[in-house]
Amino acid sequence: MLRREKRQAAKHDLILRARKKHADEEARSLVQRLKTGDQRAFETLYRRYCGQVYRQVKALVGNEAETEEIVQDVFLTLHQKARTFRGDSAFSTWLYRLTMNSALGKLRRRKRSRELNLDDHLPRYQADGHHLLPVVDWSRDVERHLLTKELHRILRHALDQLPPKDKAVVILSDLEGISNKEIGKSLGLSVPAVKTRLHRARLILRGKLSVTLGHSSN
Amino acid sequence: MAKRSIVGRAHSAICEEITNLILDYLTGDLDSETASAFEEHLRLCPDCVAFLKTYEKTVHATRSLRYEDIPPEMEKRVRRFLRERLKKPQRRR
Repeated sequence: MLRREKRQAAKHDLILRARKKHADEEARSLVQRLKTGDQRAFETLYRRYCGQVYRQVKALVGNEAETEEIVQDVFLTLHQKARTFRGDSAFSTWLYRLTMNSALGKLRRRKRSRELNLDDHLPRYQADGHHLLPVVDWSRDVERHLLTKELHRILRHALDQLPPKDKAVVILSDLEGISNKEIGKSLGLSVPAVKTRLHRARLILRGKLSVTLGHSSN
Repeated sequence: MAKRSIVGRAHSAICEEITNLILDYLTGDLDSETASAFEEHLRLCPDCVAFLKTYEKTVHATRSLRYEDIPPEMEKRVRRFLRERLKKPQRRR
């Protein structure tokens, strides 16, 4: 990356962090008001965060009716547990945790038959650790498929077949841009465990895309 | 993930080890010596270059997925549900 691009990326990151910090301070203040019984504070929290909760839950469970039930459940839980929010972690982390607990609970109750035979989509190596087959660079083909939206359909389908917790890690990391540390706190995982799950899930998605584009998963 | 150091042995580092370092390489979490060895391996191995490019493209494609906003009707329905529910005396769950 060029030095100028790096500086711009760092500046952008600083602005995002400042915005996030400000939003978190406001949310903490609303939770404090909710603790004293201020229902308007709850309404404000709902208005500000229902979109985020909906987006994450919809990405995770897919089904509209179940998503609505879970969004209800998340905000009821937020109301009931506001007293227990001590502010040790960011409000956003706490809300991710409530959201993920509720959505993953729903997914766990589903039958597991839809999961891919995941190992088929991981890269394969020779006994000496080198790639088993020549790796085809299909990265340029992706742009063309992105335009057709076909690729999005394939990716969503592949995401749906990941184990629920791995799917949650991908959604929080790659779709929501949340740090591995925050994801770990939200899902009860260590940072290395988050990275391992994220990497494996990306390898599987990559393998699935590779096969869809007519190449081996290698 | 097996992460034996590849420093000083870019020529003999194997592709599987390189694959296991991709995530940390892309997030800038590798120390400078390991990052240099990683890049040195890439100069020698077209398969790993292709693998890295397609891995990055997969992440890029995943990031481009968009999930729609909450439908206004649902937003109102949930708001009404919460108001009604929270008016009633709370029962322990």
